[in-house]
Amino acid sequence: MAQFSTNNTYNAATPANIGSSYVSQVVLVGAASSMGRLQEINFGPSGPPNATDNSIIYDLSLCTTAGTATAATATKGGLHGASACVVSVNATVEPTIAATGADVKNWGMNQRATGRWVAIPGSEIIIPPTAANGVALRVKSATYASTVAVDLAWQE
Amino acid sequence: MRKPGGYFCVSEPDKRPAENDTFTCRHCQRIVDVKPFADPAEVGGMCFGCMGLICPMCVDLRVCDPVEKKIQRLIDRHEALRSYGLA
Repeated sequence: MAQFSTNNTYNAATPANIGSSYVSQVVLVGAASSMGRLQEINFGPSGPPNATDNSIIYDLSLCTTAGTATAATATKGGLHGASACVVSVNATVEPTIAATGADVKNWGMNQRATGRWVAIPGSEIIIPPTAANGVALRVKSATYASTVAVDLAWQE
Repeated sequence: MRKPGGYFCVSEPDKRPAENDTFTCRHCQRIVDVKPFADPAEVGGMCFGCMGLICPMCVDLRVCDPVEKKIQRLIDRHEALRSYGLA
């Protein structure tokens, strides 16, 4: 099983400042040839904190389209081949999120906080082996107006 | 709960890291937080169809529909659409 990761600053990509509507920082969708297993997420602010204390909402949801975003290449661990999953960062057109039942997890945290989620083997989030179906990590804040860093790690 | 299936940690300046166990719902893939020493029934339940931990919303559905079956349906649908030239 091969190990891959990517983040929203991959290859000098510049994340846009977040706002009051969700912006997908990393979108990871499947490919017919391989099933991904999302096993780790790291996220937190990467810009200066706002003078007024406030919160940032990080949302992991299942998506059925990839939206429009900067294509990224997954960093691979070891000598494995390239990732079959399609990765894109810093969406300009949001992926399609189902109205109900698509929310995997929603973390509301202070602007100075960073979070890390790790799954044990067998409890990962499965990326379906079909095109354009996968997960999107979206971020929004009512007040914080700078960038966030998001890193995803998965196996195939 | 002895084998939750995941871990979440929040680090914040001037505060101790806040940690908790999580598990991923076997039916819908939601990540569920687990309180220390929580009874599985309090944070969801065990599905005796697929022998997996499931979230409270899936407990209420009273149907065993694991994510592997959902993905198989998704693949079947995709294959059917492709055979009709629609995908």
